[in-house]
Amino acid sequence: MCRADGKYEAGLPLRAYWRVGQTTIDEVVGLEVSVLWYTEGKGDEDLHVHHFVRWNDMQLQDLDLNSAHEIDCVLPLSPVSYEGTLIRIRWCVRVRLFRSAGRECVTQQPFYLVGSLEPAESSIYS
Amino acid sequence: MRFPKPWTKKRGKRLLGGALSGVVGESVFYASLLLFGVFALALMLFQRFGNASRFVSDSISEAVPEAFPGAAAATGEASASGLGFWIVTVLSVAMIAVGGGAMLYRLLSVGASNERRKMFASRAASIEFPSADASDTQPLPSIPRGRGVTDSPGVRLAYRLASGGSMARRTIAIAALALLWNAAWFVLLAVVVSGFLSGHPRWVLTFLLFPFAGIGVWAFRYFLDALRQTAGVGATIVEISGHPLHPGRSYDLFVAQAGRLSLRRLRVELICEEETMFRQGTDVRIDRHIVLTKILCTERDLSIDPHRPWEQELEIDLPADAMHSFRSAHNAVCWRITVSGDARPWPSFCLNFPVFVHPPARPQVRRPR
Amino acid sequence: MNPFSSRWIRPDSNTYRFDLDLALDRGKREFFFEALLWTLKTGRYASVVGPHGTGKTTLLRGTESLLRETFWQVSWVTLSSDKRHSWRDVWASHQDHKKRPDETLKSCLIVDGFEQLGWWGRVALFDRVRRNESTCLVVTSHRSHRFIPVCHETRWDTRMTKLLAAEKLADVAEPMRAKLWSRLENHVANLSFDAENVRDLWFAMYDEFETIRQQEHLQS
Repeated sequence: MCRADGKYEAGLPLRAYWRVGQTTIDEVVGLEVSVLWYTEGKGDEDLHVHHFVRWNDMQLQDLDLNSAHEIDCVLPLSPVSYEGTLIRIRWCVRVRLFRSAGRECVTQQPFYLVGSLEPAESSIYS
Repeated sequence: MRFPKPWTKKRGKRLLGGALSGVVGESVFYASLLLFGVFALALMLFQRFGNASRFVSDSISEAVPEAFPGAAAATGEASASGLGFWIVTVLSVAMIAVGGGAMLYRLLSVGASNERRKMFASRAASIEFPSADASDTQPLPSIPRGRGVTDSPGVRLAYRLASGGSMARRTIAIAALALLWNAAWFVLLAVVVSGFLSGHPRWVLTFLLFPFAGIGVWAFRYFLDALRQTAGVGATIVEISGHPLHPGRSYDLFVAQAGRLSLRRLRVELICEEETMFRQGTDVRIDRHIVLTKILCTERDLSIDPHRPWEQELEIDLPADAMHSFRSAHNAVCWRITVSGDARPWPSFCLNFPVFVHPPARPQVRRPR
Repeated sequence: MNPFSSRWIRPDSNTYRFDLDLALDRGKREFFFEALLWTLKTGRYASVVGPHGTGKTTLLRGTESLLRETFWQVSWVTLSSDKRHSWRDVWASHQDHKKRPDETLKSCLIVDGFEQLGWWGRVALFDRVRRNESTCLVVTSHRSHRFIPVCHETRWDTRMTKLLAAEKLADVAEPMRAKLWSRLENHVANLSFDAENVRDLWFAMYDEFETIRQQEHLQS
């Protein structure tokens, strides 16, 4: 991720890099990279994909998995990350690797989508 | 209360009586119209299609031959002839439709301001229910649009908020119970009358009519009490200077409460609530948790007069880190302004006025060409 | 992270436990699988019955992969009380989406919440499955139904519930874990007979976790 604190302002670009190590191209049949939000909490989970890129096995031949590849998208204005009691809204960058024999490998890097990077003058908790 | 004198020029106040009396009187009138229509229709149907139909003419002729020489023939003719039957049937159906429709409209508009009544008349859906829309094609995905809120302009401030629910629903439910029961009673009465007219009285049903009538009277009185309570509370008006709301900003709020009330306490609050839906096996449950409650105003021992509604101008300061409104398929964050009152002798009331909070506005990102 | 949030307590995130002892649990699990497949092979119908929140869906979710290996097509339909369900819709969702390569292959329809269909819906669906010899039916229900043999009956078990709770609390730091354990034991002790429901208990523990977390946040 381009920001060390993982906080990104809504409406501004997100720039991140991914790479896949310890895997040869022969084992991989597909790759998906997505930027999404999901809810977590007491209720059923919801999920929405904001940015999605997929490579099939033909397209992966031209891709060097061991080198860093960029994800570049403009983040939406909503929903912002939220830590509530019943509901939590979490943003993440997710990479899903499809291997032969139907195996899958998923990894994700969470980040915070905030309304503004400036500190709040008044707080909901005060 | 003065009685109208149509032969003279009207003087004095525009209203002859109180608004409450008008609401109750109107409802009683339309309810009577509905029930009379039910009775007449049931009587005609039983006389036409029931077993006693062919004995009607003879029975009436035998019972009242001298006093009303023409009535027997006329009644028999009316019930037997196609035209008479259809006339009475159409009139009865019209009375049912007018009475029922007018009652429903009257009950829905109880407690509503004039602008809200106009909205009822012009649109079927007065409040836009927020729909789960996570599409990225709209500028603020997963945030309800809340278009219905800004459709109603305010008098003092920019927007008049629409109530998310009203006490009229309870009154409508009670009205439905009372009218259905009494309509059924009138149908049974028509059956009993038909039986007596045909010379085959139904004694069991006749005796059952008395306790059923007692229940019907109780249900109708309960409905009138509920109507008086709902109409007596009066309209609650909430207006706001800006919408949608944004965190970190201040907004002016105007609240007015009308009616004839003696309140132990009246409170205006800003509430943020989380709402989540989850399945418990085959059951679906909704759980709610209030995240923020900000009391904007509390008044104690308040007397409200129909001619002098209670009015207050308030200010809302939305915290800078407040979460915006959110709605997805199973989860939601909702904001609302609540006006609640502990009233004497009316029951307590609590009205919710949904508002929508958007994320902090920011300038559009322009990419250099 | 709340260990009782929906992602950790939903049926596909958990494994049904047959016994406290791991070795016995493995043995009973294999026995259940064999019994289920044998029941479906010989009779084409099977059911898992038990009260609310005792693991019926969790158990069947654990067998879904096994069923997919055995049957050509497996359809899963979950019925809930918040809307009306038609047996025709249930049956339509099971229709073959691609051509069956071999007519001897069988498909399996799983109906989670069979009693939500109503008497006539259940009879009609049963009759439709009966006339379609290549389809097997597996249902979950709160009670047994005629002509559908019961393969397993789930029930509340206090010791098992505490074991599951202990597994969920394993990653929670002290002293919060001790507080939660105390509240859990309080909840279990106060449960009435008809309220013995693991899912309800998890929901209550979710609230307890959040309450304790907020208290600690305010104190700090």
